[in-house]
Amino acid sequence: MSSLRLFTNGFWRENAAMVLLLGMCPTLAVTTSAFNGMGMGLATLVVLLGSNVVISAIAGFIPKKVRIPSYIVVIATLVTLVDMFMAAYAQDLHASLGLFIPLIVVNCIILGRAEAFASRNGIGPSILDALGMGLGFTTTLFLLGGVREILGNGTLTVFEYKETVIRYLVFSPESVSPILVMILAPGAFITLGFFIALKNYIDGARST
Amino acid sequence: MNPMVKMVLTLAVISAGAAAALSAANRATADKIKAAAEAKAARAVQKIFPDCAAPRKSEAKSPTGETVVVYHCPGGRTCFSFSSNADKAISRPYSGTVKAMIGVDGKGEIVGLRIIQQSETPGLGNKIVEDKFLDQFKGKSVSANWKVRKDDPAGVIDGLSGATISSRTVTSLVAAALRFHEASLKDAAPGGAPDAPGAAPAAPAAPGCGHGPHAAPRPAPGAPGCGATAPGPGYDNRRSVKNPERFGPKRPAFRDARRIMKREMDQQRQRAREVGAEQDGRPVRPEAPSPGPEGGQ
Repeated sequence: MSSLRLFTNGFWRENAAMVLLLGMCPTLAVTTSAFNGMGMGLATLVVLLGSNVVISAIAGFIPKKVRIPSYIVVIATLVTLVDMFMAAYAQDLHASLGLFIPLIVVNCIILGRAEAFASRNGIGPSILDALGMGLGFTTTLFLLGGVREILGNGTLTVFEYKETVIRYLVFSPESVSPILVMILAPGAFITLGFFIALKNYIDGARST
Repeated sequence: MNPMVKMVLTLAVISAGAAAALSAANRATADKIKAAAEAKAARAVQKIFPDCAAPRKSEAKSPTGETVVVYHCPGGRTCFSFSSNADKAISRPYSGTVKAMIGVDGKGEIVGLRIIQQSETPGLGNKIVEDKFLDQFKGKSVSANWKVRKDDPAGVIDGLSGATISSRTVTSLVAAALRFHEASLKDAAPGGAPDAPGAAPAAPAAPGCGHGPHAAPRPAPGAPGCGATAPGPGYDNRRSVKNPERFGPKRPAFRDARRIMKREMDQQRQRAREVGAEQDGRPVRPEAPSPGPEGGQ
């Protein structure tokens, strides 16, 4: 596989949220605003990058039967390290993203990529895979969060850091009452369902 | 090598490496994290009392024994952080712990309020940090009817739609914090604290009731003594069912119906006989049937 193909894999063909259907817990729980989706995606990207590098480096030494516990220990350690260093050196970022960090441990994308890709490939391809998968996941979560936020709250939050908040008012909640269910958990399932349907429709239209 | 031994060794080595990395990182960051948390608390104090540059710090114990750091500012004003674990009366948050920094003036009224820690649902419960919600609390004191309007139409707080549990938590947290302030901080506020050598504002220590120097004589409804804890509204998530009777006394099983109906009719007949022709207007109603000792579930 060429490097470019490896990188774009995570955006469309093997998109973690829409095709592999991995990492559903953060996908559904956190995408209540566009920025929250992006934050979760970026935090996942960082951990995925770290775990892919470490696991592709040590996979050769790990007996097959204990590979999953080994990967989990590596991933949990990385997540805790990221959490600690963010809390110490980037408090404001930690205040806005801190909620998502512990959630990453239970994110199947990390373990899934460790098992399916990083343990069978070298460090270079693993980095590319992590970048593609992470950015594809981030994009999907951003769009998912955006749709849910617009329908459920009437706003679109693109950025939120310290006192800076970039939030667009799509429609005012006073004039049109928002569809509250879109912000709640069922809204995540509904939106993701439409996303997957749209993707499959586009794929079908392209192949014929 | 024996494959079993190799597996155990691999896991042990990986875990030891992880433990080493984590303890090193903890050593490197623990002080920084603590300092950051303190700086954050100090910033919250600054936001609430902008003119109070160097507050005097003291510590107190909350009803559940948590340490509460109290920042004293001139004029009997205090600022302290109160967490949702600090009092049993606080309605449980949706997730994790909610911690608020509360600024109270000498009269016992809220000047400012900031949520410094929470992990409520993003997009719903985490709106408790927004000024739009928190501004409702300003100017209110312990005697207010600390209820969310959804639970009690006479309550003083408008809850957030879709986040009633979080709204309840903040409301009951503030109520508990104000009770705590009334009980253990107000007396100590105007320079009377033993751990305040000269640092406190030079106000004459009010004898008896420890109201702040600017304190207007508050009517203090229902709490005549100074420092008395007003029995404030406590919340309990488990009892907020709208119709508690639905879960009330256990209903008798269907197979007992015949026996119970018979007993009820007997009772009714007997009562009718006792009352006789008096007709005192009391409706003749059978008492709630209680399953007999032999009557199972």
